[in-house]
Amino acid sequence: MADSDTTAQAGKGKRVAGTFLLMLGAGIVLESPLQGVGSAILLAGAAFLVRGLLNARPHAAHAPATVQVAPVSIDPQTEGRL
Amino acid sequence: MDHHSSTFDEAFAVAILAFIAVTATVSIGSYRRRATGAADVGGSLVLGSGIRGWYMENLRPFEDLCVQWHISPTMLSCAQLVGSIVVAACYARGMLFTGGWLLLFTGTLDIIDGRVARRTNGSSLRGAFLDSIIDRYADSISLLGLAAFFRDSWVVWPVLFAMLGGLIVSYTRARAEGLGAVCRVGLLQRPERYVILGFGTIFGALCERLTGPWVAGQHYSMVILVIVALALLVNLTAIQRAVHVWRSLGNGQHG
Repeated sequence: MADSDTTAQAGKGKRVAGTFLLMLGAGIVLESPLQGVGSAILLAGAAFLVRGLLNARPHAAHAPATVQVAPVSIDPQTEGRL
Repeated sequence: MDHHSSTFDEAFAVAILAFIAVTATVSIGSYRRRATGAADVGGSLVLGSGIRGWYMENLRPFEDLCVQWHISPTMLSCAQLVGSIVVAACYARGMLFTGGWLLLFTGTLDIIDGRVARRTNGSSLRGAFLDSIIDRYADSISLLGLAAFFRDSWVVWPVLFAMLGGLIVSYTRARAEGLGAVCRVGLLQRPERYVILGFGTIFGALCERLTGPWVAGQHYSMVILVIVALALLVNLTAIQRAVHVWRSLGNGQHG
């Protein structure tokens, strides 16, 4: 569970950083003569964004169900009543 | 803007708008799925506590990185100041989209530094004082860049008026707290100002490429509308705070 949360957090961070870099690169391409620099930043942002999306935790509705089975002790007095 | 054709500009602006639309749609979905009450943050009329909490949840990985890498709140404040100088340079050169995006980034640094200070028990009186000074410089420097861009137009006056209003909004609170009053009201506090100016210049720059001037033949019409609205609302906020403090102080004698 902790690993899942860490992965989800890392994915979220990459998505946010990717969006930031992508938009920054787009701005530089659009508004400045530094086309190469802007394109490089834009592509780096796109790469981060894609990696972040791949690390995304699936939404609860689509996530595979995990069932935790508790150890059961059979009590002869309660067996049959439960 | 003669480094590429206007057709490229238009197509690229449409592509950016499409990306923003998709990102906004996905973000609205994640905001709705967010557990309510996940983050205890204050809100205002313009930016409610829900949206602030959602934004801070998205910043959580960067807070963790700052804590893990021992990046102090003071370093974040200094980064905010440097970022504001870059924002001003972008605005002054007419790079309003890039400047607006970086303005949102510097505003985010301002949010993160306080949260990192609380998490690392690094809050101190000196840190809070330095943060306040840097905030005032950062606010003013960004708007000075915009004033430099509009220096040959009447728009320079609303920009300077907005800058003045922003300083008075902050001063009113500081003075009120010095007199023992609490002043946390206000229509446009700093985060709201960052959001309005940041997104205003981003969409204004894209709009300029797609539609050209559409208000009285003025270039960057949307940006101008945003600046005028900001100037009015910020000064209204200053008056709102002054009235609030005036009432809360009552007839108390000074000294």
